[in-house]
Amino acid sequence: MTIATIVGPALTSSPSHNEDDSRNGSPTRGAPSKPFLRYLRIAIGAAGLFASLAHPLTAFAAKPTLTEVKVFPADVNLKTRGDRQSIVVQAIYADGVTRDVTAQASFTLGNKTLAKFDHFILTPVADGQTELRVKFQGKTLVVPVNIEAATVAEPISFIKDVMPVFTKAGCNTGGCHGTSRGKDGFRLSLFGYDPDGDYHRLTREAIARRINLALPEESLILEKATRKVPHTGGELFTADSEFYRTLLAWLQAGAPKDGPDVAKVVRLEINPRQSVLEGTGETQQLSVRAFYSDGTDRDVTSLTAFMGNNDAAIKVSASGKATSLARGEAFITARYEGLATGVQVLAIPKNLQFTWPAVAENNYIDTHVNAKLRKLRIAPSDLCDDPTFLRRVYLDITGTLPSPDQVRTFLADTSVGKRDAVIDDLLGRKEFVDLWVMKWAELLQIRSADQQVQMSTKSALQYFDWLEAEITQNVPVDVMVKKLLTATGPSFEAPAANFYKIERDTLKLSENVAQAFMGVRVQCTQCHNHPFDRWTMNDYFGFAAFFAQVGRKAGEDPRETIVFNSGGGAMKHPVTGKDMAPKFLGGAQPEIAKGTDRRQVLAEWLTAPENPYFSRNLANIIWAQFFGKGIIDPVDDVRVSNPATNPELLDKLASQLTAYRYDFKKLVRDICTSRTYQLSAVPNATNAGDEANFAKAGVRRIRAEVLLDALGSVTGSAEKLRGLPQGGRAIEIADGRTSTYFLTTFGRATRETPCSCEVKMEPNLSQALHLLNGDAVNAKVLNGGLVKKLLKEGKQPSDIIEELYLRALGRPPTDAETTKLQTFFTDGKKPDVVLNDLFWALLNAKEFVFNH
Amino acid sequence: MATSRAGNVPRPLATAVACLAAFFGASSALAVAPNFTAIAPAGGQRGTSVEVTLRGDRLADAQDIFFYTPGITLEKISGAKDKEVKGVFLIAADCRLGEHALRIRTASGISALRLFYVGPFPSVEEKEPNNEAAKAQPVALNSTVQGTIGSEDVDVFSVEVKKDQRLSVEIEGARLGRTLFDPTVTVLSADGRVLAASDDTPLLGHDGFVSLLAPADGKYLIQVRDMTYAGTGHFYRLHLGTFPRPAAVFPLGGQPGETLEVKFLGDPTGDFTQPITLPTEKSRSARFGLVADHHGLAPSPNWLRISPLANAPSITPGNTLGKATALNTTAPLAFNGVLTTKGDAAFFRFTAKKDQSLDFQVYARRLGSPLDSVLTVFDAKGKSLGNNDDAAGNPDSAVRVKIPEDGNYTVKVADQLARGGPRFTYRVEIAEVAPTLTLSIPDTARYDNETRKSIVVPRGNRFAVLLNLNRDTFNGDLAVTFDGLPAGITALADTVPGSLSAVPVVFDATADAPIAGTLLTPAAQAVDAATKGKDVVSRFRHTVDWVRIQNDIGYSRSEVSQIAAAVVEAVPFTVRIVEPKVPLVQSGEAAWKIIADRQEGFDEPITVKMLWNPPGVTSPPDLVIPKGASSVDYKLNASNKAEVRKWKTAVVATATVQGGAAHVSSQLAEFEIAAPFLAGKIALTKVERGQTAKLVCTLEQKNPFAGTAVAQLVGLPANTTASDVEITQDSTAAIFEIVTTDKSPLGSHKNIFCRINIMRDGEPITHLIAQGSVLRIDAARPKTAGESKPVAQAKTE
Repeated sequence: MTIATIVGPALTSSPSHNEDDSRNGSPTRGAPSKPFLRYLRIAIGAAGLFASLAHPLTAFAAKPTLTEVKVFPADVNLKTRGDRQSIVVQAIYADGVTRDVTAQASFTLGNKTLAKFDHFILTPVADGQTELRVKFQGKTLVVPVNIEAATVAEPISFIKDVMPVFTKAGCNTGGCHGTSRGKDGFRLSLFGYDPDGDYHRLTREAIARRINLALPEESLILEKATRKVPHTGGELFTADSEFYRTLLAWLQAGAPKDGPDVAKVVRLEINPRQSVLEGTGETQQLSVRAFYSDGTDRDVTSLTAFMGNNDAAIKVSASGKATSLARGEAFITARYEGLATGVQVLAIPKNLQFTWPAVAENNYIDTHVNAKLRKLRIAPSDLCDDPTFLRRVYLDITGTLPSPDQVRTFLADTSVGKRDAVIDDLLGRKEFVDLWVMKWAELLQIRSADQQVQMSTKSALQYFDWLEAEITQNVPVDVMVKKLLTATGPSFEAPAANFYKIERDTLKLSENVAQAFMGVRVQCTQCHNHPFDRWTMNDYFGFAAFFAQVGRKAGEDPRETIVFNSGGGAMKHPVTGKDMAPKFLGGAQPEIAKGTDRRQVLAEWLTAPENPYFSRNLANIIWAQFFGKGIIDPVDDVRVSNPATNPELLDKLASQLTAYRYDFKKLVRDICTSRTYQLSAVPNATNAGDEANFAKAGVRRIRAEVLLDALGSVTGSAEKLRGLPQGGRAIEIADGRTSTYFLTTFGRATRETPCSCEVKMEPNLSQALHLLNGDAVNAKVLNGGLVKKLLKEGKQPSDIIEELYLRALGRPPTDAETTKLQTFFTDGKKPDVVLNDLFWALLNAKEFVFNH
Repeated sequence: MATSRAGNVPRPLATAVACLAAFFGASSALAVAPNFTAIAPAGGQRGTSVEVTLRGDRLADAQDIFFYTPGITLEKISGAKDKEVKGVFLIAADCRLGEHALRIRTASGISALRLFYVGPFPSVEEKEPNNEAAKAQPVALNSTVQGTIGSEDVDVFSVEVKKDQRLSVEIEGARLGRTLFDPTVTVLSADGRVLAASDDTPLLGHDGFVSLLAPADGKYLIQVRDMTYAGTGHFYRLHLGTFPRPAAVFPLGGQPGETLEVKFLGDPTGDFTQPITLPTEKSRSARFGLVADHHGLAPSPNWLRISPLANAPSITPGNTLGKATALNTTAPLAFNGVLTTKGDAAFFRFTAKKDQSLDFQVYARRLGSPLDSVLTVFDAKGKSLGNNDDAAGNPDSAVRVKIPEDGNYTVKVADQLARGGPRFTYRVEIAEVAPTLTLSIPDTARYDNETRKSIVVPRGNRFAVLLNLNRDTFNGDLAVTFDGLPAGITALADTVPGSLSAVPVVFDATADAPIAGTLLTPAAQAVDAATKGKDVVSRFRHTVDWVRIQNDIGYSRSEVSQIAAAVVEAVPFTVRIVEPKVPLVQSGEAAWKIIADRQEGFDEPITVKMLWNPPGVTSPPDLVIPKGASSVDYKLNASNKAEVRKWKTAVVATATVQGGAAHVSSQLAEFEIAAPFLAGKIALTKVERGQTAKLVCTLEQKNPFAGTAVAQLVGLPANTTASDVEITQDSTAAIFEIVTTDKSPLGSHKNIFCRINIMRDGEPITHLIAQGSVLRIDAARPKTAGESKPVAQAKTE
C-alpha cells in the first residue's frame, strides 16, 4: 500500500522499518529517529520547522552571585557522651545553582570548653549552651548548640544502634536475610520491621550460636560480617569500622534487649532540601537527623541507608554524599529504623548557556511548570498549532474526534479567546461526563464476576448507573467518595454499597481505598514494613481497622448484599496479635466512640481539605489524563522514593481543587487553558531529553475505548457492543467484563484491580497487525461506505481527500501531500478504490492512532 | 392407610410378569416420564376459557391435568403429540387471582410442576417491532399483554390516559420464569421523559409495578426490558390499566373468620380501606391473598396472615425500652404496627407466665412489607432474652424464649438498617410453642426437586418413596397414611419410631388397576394417645426451586401441599430383594441379592439404589445390574452402634424405557440387626521382612454358635499372606501365620482386621472384628554386628 508512506507507517515500527523509510528518500532523512516524530514531520510536511522551533541561545557570561548560605542543622542538641552532630553548609547562587561549601566555610565555636568541633562534627565536652558561627564569603550564620549530660554514657540500644547496622550494611534486605524464609538458615525481618523477632533470632534461635557473650569477638554475626568465616553475602564491614564497634559494644554489654520505654523514631529529616549541582563531579553531603518520641534528636547520617533513583545522573554514596554525573535529576531515599524520607538533587551541565525565553503564563500551572524548567535550564516548546490543539482537546476532554465542520469552523475563527471557548464548550458536553464515568468505573472496578453471586451483572449495571448519575449531577468528588466509603443498605437499593460488595476482604479493601483515593500502595506493608516508603505494619493494620466492622449479609436475592455497620469486630496485628485501634494512614489515631461507624470517621478525615493525600491524588489523576503521565507517576504509587517531579505544582493543583469544592471540571479547565497543556510535541534543543517536566506535549497512544469509538465515528461504522444499544460507544461500557478483541488488544482495563496499570497504553505488534490486517479498519472503511457516499454526492476527489484528512487527522492535507496524492488518480484507477486506500492509510497512520 | 406389613412378596412374581407381558404388547404409545417444559400462554383471564399449548417431551399419551388450587378445570385435552398437547382451561369467574400450580398426567407418568397465572383482564399478544417509542404498540387500558423478551430486547407499549386518571402497570415476569428473568418496567411520557420506573419491589420480588396519576391527558409509554438486557425469550404478562396496585396493607393479619378493615397503602389516589372477612382456616400458618378492589381489581393480591391469635388493639408503640407501650395482654397474642419514620423502633410490653415457652415471629417481608426486621425480647429489667435479625434465610425475625418468671416482658421491633416509612408494616405473633409435624420427600437427585417425588406406580409393579417426618417439640411414634390413593394402589409403611424421622413407603399396584391419578395429602399421626403431639395435624410440603444461582442457591420457588399419585402403564421389569435368613450383626456386613425380573426383550441396564438405610448402616449409593444380567449383590455394613431390632427397607430401580426413566421398587423387605456372636483384638504384631510371625487375634465369645467358622485376616499389604483358620464357639483365639517375602513393604500397616463368617441356614453371618489393628514389617537386621555413628552435619549460614 504505497499510500501508507505518504501519511506515515503504522503504529509500531521496528528500527529496520525506520531505516527503510530513510533510504526511500522521504523527507525524514537526517532527523531524529523517534518514530512519532517521523510521522509528525511527514504529516506536517515541514522538517525544517524543527530548526525554527529552537529558542535563540544567548551567551550567559556573568558569574552568578551568592544569594544565600544555609547551615544544616539550624540548631544542635547534644545529649550524652556518645552523641555527635555533623554540619553541612550549602551556598545558593542567583542562578539557582547550589554548592556544598562545608570545606570552604570557616567555623568558630563560642565556648570551646563545652564542645569539640573536628572534621565538621560537633561532640560534647561539658553541659551548657554555646553557638557555632559559620562564615562563608561574607555571610555569617549562627547555630545554637545545646549540650546536656555530656559525661553520661548512654547504654547501647538494640533498636537505636544495632538494628540500623543491619539495615545499613544490607543484612536485612530482601535479597539477603530479610527474605521471608531467611538466607542460609538465618532470618531477619525485612528492613527491621520486627525488632523483637530479630532480637529473638539473634540471641535465642539455633541455641544462640550467632552470638558468643563469653568471647564477643568470636560471635558468628561479627565473623560472618567481616568474612572471618565464609559468608555468602561477602564482607560487609571491617573490624575497624564503626558498625563493628557498635555490634561488639552491644555484645560486650551482654546483648541487652531494649526496655519497653525505649524512644521510637517518629520523624526523619534530610537536608539540604534541594541541591542543584553544576557540572560533573560536583558533590553535596546529605545530613539525616532522627527525631525521637522522647523529644530528643540524633544525627543518624552514618547509620542511614541511602538510595538514588537515577544513578546515571546523580550517585549517592553509602555515607550520603551525592555526586553529579550527568544532566538530570534524582531522588535520594534515606532509610533509618523502618522510616524513610527523601530529597531531590538536580544536576545541570557546567557553564550551560541558557536564556529563559519570555513565554506567556496563562495561569498558575505555567508559573509552576516554568519555575522548575528555569531551574533545569530547559525551555518549553512552542505552542502547538490550531489543528493539533483542537484534536488534542477533543480527545482529552471528550474522548471524541472533532468533525470536519468543527475543524473548519475553528480554523476559520480568528478571535483571540477561541481556544478557551472550545474548552468551555467541550466541558459542557455529555461525552466529558462519559469519559470520567469510565475512569471512575475503572477505579471502582465495576465489573460483574463469573459467579453471579459475588458481583452480578445487575449489581454492576446498578453501580455504574449510580456513578453516572453522580458525575452527571456534578456531585463534588469528596461527597461522592464519602458516599462510597460510608455506603450502607441493600446493594440493589443503595448501589454505592457495591463498593463493599466488589471487595469483601478487609485487607484488600483497605489497600484499594489507599490506592484509589490516596494514590498509596500499601500492599507490601501487610507482611513487612514498606521497603521504599514510610509505612509500617502498624500503619497498615491500623488503617485496615477502619473496615473491620463492615457488616455484610445476603439479601433475599442471593445477588444482593446488605452492607451495614456491624458495630463490632477488630483487626488483629499478625505479629503482636493485638487488636489494632483505627489509625489514619499517615495521620493520627482518632478517638472513636463504640458503635460509631468507623468508615464515617475515615471518610471525614480522607475528604477533609487538609488531608495531604486526597486532593493531591485526585489532582494528579486529573493531570495525568491530559499529559499522559502524572506529576507523580504512576498516579497511584505515591511514596517517599517516588516523589512528585514538581511538588509545588501538585500542591497548587490540589489546593485549587479543594478551593473549587472538588468540582473537577474547573480544574480541567485550568489545565486545558494553561500554555503548558497547549505546547507542541515538537522538542527544542533544551527539552528533547526531558520527559518529566512537561516542557513539551507528550505523544500518547489513544486508549482502547476512545480509539474504537474514533474508528467508528470516522468511518461511520460503529460496532455493536454487548449491553449497549446500536451506536453506543465503547466509553459507555458499564460492565468491565464486556470486551471485544479490539479493546482487549489495545489494553482496556479489565477492572480487576484499582491499579492505574490496568489501562495499557503501550503500543505493540498485535495492535499494529490488528489495524493493518484485521477487521478493525478495512471492514469499517468499507462498511461505512463514506467514500462511496461522498462520490455519490458529486464531491471531487480533492474535496474527499480533504474530508478524509479532516475526519481522521483533524487537519487538511498539506500541499505536499495533496500534490503527491494527485498522482494516484492519473493511472486510470477507480477513484473510490484510491480514496478507500487513502482512508485506510490515514487510519493506520500514527498521526491517527496517537494524540499529540 | 396401610401401616402393617402385608407380606414380603405381595404376589407370585410369575403373575406379575405375565401381566406385564400382556400390557406391554398393548402399550405401543408408552411414554414414560413425561417432560413438561412450558405452557403458552402463561396465563389467562378469569371467567373465560383459554386454549393453552403444553410443551415438552413424551406427551403423546397425555390424559389429564392436575390443578393444585381450585378455580381452573380442564375442559378438553386434545391433539396430544410427543412434543405438545393442547388443552382448554375453563377459568371460573371467582377463580383466585395469581399463581396456580399444575402437572400433566400421561398414561405412563406424571410431569414436573409448572405454573399458570390467572388475571382479571383480557389478554393481548405482544407484536414486534415495538423496540422504540416511535413503534410503541397501542394497548387498551385494563388489559394484559402477553409477550416475550429476547436479548437486549425492549418492548414499548402505549396507552391513552386522561389527566388524573390512575395509570397502573404490573408485570408478571420473574414469577413465571424458570430461568433468571428480572424485568424492569418504566412509564414515560409521550415525549420520552421517565415518569416512574420499577425494578424490584418488596411485594412482588423482581417483578416491578408502577402506579401513578397521569399528569395530563394523552399518550403514555410503558417500556419493558430485562434489567441486564439479558432476555432469552422470557415470557411475561404485563397488566396495564387504571386498576389499583397498592404497595402495602395494614393490619397484616387476623383470626380465621374475623372481619377486618384493611387499609391499602401506597395508592396514588391515596390510601383506602376495604372490609374483608378472613376465611375460616384450620391450618396454623396460612397466607391469605387479598385483592385490592378500588375502581377496579388489582391483578395480584396483597398478603395477610391468618392465625388463631387475637390482634391486640392497635396502639402507638413506645420508642424506647423505658417507654414501651403496655398491651395489657398476656401471651399468646399478636399485634400489628408500622415503623413510620427513619430510625424508628417499636417497644411493646406484655405479660407472660413462668415456664411459658414462646415463639416470637415477625411477619413483614413474607407478606410484602419492605421492613427487614430485627426483633429483641427483654425481661422486666431490660436484659435481652433473645434477639434475631434473619431467620431461616428470610429477612423476618424469629426468637424462641422460655419465660423465666411471671411478669412483664418487652418486645422491640426495628429495621436492620434503621429505615422506616408508612409502608414499613409488620405483624408480631407471640405464640405458645406448639408441636408441628412436617412431611416431605427428600430430593433424590442433586438440583432436582421432581424425580421420584410423585407417586407413579406402574400396573402390577411397585414404587417407593422415602418420607421425611420433621417433628418440632414433640416425640413419639407416628403412623403414616396416604388417603385417597387411586384405586388399585396399596401403600406399605411401618410405624415410625420416635427416634427416627424418615420411613420408606412402598406402593403396590395391582396388574389390573385402572390407569388414573389424583392429588392427595400424605399425613402422619401420633400412634400413642398419650404423646404430646397427639393432636398435631401434619403438613405435607413439596418445594420446587424455579431458579438457582450458582446451581445451588435457591432464588425463586413454589410450594405445594399435596402429592400427585397415579397408576400408569406397566413397565417391562420388576425388582426384588432376596430377603436374608440370617441377621446383619453389629460391626458386621451382609450381601443382599437383588434380582431383576425382566420381560422378554428388555435388557437395558437397571440401576438399583437402597431407598433408605437405618442409622448405623451404610451401603454403596447405587449399583447397576448390567445389560442382560438379572441380579447384583448389594453389600451392607453395620457399625457397632446400629440399633438391634428388625427393620424394613426397599431397593428402588431405574431403567430407561422408551427414552424416559422408569422407576420401580422392590418389596418392603425385612431384616434384622443383631448383637455380634463374638469380638476380638489383635495386639501390635511385628515381623521382620522375609520372616514369618504369628499374629494372634484373641477372641471374646459372646453368643454361642454352632459348628465351625472361618476366620480370615484382611488388610495385609502386598507380598504378605496368612492362611484362613477355623474357629469354634470355644476358641479363645484365631492364630494366623504371617508369611512375608523380601518384597513385603516396610512400615506399619494399620488397617488389619479379622473377618469371621459364621454359617447358619446356609448363609454367612459376617463379623468384622479387631478393626484398625497394626502389623509392622521391619527391615531385616544386618548380618554383621556394629553400630553406625550418627554423622553430625555442619550447618552454614
